Amino acid sequence: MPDSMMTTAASLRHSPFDPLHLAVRTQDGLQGAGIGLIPRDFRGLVTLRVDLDREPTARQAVTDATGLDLPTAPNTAASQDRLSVLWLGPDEWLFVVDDPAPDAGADLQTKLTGLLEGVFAQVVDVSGAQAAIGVTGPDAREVLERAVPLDMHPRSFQPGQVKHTLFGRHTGVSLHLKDDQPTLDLYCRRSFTGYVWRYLEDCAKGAETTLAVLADR
Amino acid sequence: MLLIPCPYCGARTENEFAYGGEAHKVRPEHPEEVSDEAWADYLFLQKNTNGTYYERWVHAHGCRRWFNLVRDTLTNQVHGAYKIEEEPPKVDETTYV
Repeated sequence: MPDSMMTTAASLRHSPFDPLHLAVRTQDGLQGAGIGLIPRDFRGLVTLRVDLDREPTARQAVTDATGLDLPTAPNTAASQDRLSVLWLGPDEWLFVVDDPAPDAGADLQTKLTGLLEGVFAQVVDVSGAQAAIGVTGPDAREVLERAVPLDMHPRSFQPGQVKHTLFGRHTGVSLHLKDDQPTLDLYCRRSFTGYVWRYLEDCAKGAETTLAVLADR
Repeated sequence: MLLIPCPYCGARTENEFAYGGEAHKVRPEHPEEVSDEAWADYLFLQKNTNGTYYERWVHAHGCRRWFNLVRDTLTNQVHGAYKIEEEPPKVDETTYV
């Protein structure tokens, strides 16, 4: 078979941002805009469910597999290099591999499953189920406040925190605040990508600020 | 809107939660042995107190965990939340007529 007819996992993938036709609007840097949205295509996402009280060895196994200590404090996240782990609940975490490779999630799943052998735990690759949108810029908190019921003020939402909440009227999202710029990563159900994106554009209009589409890297 | 103190995530607004009815109802141990009337009572009858009420909520758009809440159904004052396996907090119970 000639190379041109080969299909790879990468070439078969469709970005959840395709219908938004963002390429023509993408710019370098905020250039004075109040908020920048970044379509973060194809991240490796893996959920882990394990009760650490019943399975105390799991914590060390996860550290061995990823180099990260599972955050057990509510609403917190841990990051190292290109890997983050977000607290979703008292026995539930989401790993995010900041790597668009098609098997980024599957590789981590294999690694975790191997090290959690014999432990009552669940590891699922959910890379295809969720989309990530980067949010940055000086007005990011103000715009997001219009979309979620959370208090986005720095006194109650600080870098390193992650909060799962209701977005707009319909869907749940996870918000991971990474730094004080502020820079956030928003994770939503893949099929809600268009809704969340357009809702944020509307919120930016409501907040009377300008919105820029930024390149992923 | 209520500000509900989820025992896992902290205070969040009411629209992140879903209501689950009265708490501490005891399910008959052998449902197949109880009469239809007793089973219907268990399923459908609630105290519906006008005052301090112990009720179940789920943090549907947060940590997705069930927990119990003590709320005054007349004034909507929230007296506290506690995990399913925990004992309810001591509150001055009020019932209005």
